[in-house]
Amino acid sequence: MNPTRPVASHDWPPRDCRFQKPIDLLRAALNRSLIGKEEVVELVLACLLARGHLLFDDLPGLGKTTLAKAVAQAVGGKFARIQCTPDLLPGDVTGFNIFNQKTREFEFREGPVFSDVLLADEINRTTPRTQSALFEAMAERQVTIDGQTYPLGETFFVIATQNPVESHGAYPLPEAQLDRFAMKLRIGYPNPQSELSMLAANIGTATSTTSEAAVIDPVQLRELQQHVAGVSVSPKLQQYLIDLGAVTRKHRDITLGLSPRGLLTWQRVAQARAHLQGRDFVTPDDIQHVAGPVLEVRLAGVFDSASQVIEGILSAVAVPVFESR
Amino acid sequence: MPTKLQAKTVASYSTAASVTPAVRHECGTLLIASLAAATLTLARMDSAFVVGFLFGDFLFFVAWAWLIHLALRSGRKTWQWPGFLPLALGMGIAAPWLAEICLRPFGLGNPLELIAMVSFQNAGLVTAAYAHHRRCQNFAGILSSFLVLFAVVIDATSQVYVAAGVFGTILLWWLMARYWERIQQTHAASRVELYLPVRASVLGGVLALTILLVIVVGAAPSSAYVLTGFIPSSGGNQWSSEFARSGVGDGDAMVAAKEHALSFGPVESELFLESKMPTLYDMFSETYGEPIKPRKRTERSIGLAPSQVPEPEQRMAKTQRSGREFSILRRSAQRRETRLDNRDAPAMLYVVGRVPLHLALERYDHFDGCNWEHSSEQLPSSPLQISWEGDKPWIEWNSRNAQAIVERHALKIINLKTNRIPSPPGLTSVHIDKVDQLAFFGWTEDGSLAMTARDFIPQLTVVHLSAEQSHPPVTFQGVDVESDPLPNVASCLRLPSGHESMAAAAEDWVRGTPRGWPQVEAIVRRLRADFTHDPEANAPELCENVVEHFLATGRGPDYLFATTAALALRSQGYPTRLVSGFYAQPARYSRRAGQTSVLTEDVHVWVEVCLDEQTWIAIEPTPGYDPPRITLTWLGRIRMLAGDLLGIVRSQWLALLACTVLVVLAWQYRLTWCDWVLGMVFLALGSRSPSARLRATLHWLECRFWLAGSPRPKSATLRRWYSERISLSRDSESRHWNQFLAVAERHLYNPAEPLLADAQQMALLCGAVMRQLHPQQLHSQATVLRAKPPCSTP
Repeated sequence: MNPTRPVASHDWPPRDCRFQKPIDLLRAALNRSLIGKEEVVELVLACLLARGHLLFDDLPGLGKTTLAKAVAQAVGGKFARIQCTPDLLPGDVTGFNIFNQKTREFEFREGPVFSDVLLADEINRTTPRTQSALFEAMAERQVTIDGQTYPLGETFFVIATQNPVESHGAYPLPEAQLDRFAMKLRIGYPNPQSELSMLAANIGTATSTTSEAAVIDPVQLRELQQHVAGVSVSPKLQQYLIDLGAVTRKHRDITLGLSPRGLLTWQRVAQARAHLQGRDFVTPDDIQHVAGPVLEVRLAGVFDSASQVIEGILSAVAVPVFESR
Repeated sequence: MPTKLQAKTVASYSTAASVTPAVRHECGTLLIASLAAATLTLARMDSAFVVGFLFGDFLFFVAWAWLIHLALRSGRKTWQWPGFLPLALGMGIAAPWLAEICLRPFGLGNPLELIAMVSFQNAGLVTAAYAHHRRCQNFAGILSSFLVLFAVVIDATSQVYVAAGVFGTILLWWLMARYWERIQQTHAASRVELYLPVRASVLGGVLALTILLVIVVGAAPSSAYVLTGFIPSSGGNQWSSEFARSGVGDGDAMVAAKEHALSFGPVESELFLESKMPTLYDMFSETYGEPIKPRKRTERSIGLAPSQVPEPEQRMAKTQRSGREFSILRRSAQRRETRLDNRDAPAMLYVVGRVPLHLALERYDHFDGCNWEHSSEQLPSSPLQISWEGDKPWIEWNSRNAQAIVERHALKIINLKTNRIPSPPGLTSVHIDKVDQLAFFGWTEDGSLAMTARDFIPQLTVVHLSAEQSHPPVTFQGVDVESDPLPNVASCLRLPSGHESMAAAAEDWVRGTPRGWPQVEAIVRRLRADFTHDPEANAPELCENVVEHFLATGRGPDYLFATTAALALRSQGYPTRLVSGFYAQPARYSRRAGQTSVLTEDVHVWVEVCLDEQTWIAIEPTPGYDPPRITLTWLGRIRMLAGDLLGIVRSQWLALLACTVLVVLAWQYRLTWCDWVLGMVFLALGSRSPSARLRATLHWLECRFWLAGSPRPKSATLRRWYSERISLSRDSESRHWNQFLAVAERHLYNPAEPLLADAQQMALLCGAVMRQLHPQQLHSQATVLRAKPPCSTP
């Protein structure tokens, strides 16, 4: 390196290629499935690497299920899907014991939660009883049936979708359930150019589903998640997070502020975002960047526009710059 | 305790997207609290010492409440501290009392009932700032209504009624809004809050208050004893407060009577009461000491027989001096030890109106080296005439100048034994109620207005005076000593012999000063600055030249200042005369009575300078006495200001031009030179550790963008804020900027120790960034970015 001249931007700061390649592959695979939504894909990746669960809250036909399936295919794990309806029972989700006539014993029949990626489609259509069956699975990555605890996969990842416009016959998710999701995302309509690409790509495709090969395996995903957990967060940024959390708890328009679990999730997602940016430390940009999806899922209150409230929360706390470490 | 709490359902705020009804109600509550405070302030004007102070006080507390409200709305955590409400409430309630403790030693106190009301006002404002709590909103509404009711009761002026009307209108709107809000709540309940039970808390409060009263009042012999001092205006118990607004008090001896002379004090009635009073000369002797009378010299002579004495052929002329003389050679006055004693009316007279005020009683134009006296020359006197203002007869003599500012005073004559009317400078007309006969008035030989038909003005007469404040015209040049002066003021220019050194001193004092009023001011200024007023420093008994002695010692009583000023001005060709009378001191102003006492010791001597034959302007050469005030009209002020400015511009045009150019250039290139200075400062700090250098560079960047009018908001991250700026830069610059930000972030937010390569890279990047972005470029970027919507969070 020439010490008299600043180095070029593309090789500074140096990136760890060992973890960069699988991420690039994942990113490319998801972007192929969902055209023109790079920002959403980045957040989905952050959620995946942070070992969080994801809630899509958007209109029908915007690609929620497509993206969920693309994630499952890309990580190469076992994919399961539940179409949530009012008559869905908890046993349909977690699994149940069935009596085997031959062996004269009860056998455990695994439910869809025993997978690597679980898509719970239209989760607000099922009853609270069934919704709460997912509590233990999402928070502790295990299920307990008839007193027997069954561990789930290390890379267990729930993608739930809900439709915000059809409220008739729907059961809104309780705050306790919402807090178990890492973030809530809206995909939104693609821009005209992306729609044009999508239409062009659809010509000549006979089937509605595309099957892509897995770009990484669950072991690699687990390594990535381990690496993300080790991304540094300086104490002053942790204080910044605490201050932001305190603002949510005292905000006049918010009835339920950020829980400690929410704070941990926020930090972890920020770590994931830093990793996606090729850094091994978190910056205030990471925290602010993921604030919207992380806070939106768990702040209950009386507001129409959550984004404005979140913007107000971020504006209320000074970004640490010159503070000592 | 949770079991004693009741659950009530209240409506929640609708949204934070815009100004919600809840926010409107909060603002409405604060508005009515502010209006109530304004109404109370208007009512307090009646008893205010300094109106500006009163309004400052009002604005401060209202602004404070609005600031609290805005701070609470901002959602900052500092303001959300639960202890802040009691703290702010306590401060608001205590502040007027603390201020009162500080102000009373200066005589600027307020009546106790008004202080209590100001405490209520502040409590209302603070609780209105917390109007998002329903209880605070109710409390603020009740307090504000009570304040307005109180204000209307204590002060029945039109402005208070108008303010109360506005308050009532807005209160009605506020109540209606609250009513509709409650109706909406019954349909839109979505939140549950815990409240103390209303009935129990009110009953408990009343019970506690009753018990307290029973304990306090029951333990004392009577309730009146307990309440002493709480109602200071009531009187009747030998206790009075000078800060009380009014009362039926028996404490103060003199209470201004309103209708009848025999009630308490001077009134405008036809009853003239008479009593023994000291004359003006008694007062002079008492204050300045007795004049030293020359001993009669008896010379040896030879007695002649009456037949040898020749009979005069005609009757010898006899000097008939028109008035008494004023000697400047006096014995020291025997100062009596004053004892506290009841005096019914210690004042010679009372002055209603602006003080300080010079009240002339007698004028002297002839000075023989030791005594001032009236010359035999008769000054031209204007004919008197009567004009009526409604049913009030005013005695006038000069035609009024429409441009001049007219000032009115009222004198309540108490113990003054003279028929001369105490005259402020520029007196133009006099009014005594029901005295509409010109025969009562006339001019004395020295040009003073007097009730010539009487020996003295009747006691307890109220004399109204109207005076025009005249200002010396720019054309005033005095009198040319060489030429023949005006015959009527010739006596006012004569200098006794033996005062040449004084004339030389005066010549020295005015040297370099343009002729006219500036020279008069120069002499007065010199006397006020260089000489000491010492009432005891009389000249020795055998002093030949008192003025020379005064100049040598540099100290003396006021008549020596006046004499020296008069003679010095005469030596420079300005006609002067000595004036004796009273000086109404502001220190003797009684706020309660609204008047200033003039006592025996307020006799004073000063000087008048002649502008033309009829216009005399008073000047005050004695330090410690305020000069007679000259108030200019707005036009006059503008003219004077313009004249002064023009003079400065003419004399200093080159320097002014250079300064203007420098200021314009400094403003035009403010970014460049500020940036240059900042750069020099950071360079001067030298090459320190990489960490310090990075921080210095970041500080420098923040300063530069602040200077360019685009400071980084505290909640914006470095990357987001500077990325917008980078996007406007050239590619090469962008690359350096990106690298700099990456390194800066790594250094600021990575807990790991920085690498050596990082440190080297950082030093290079700091230098590269500092060399980029010229000030004008920064400014243009800031302008472009200001036109865009503000930087929002992702």
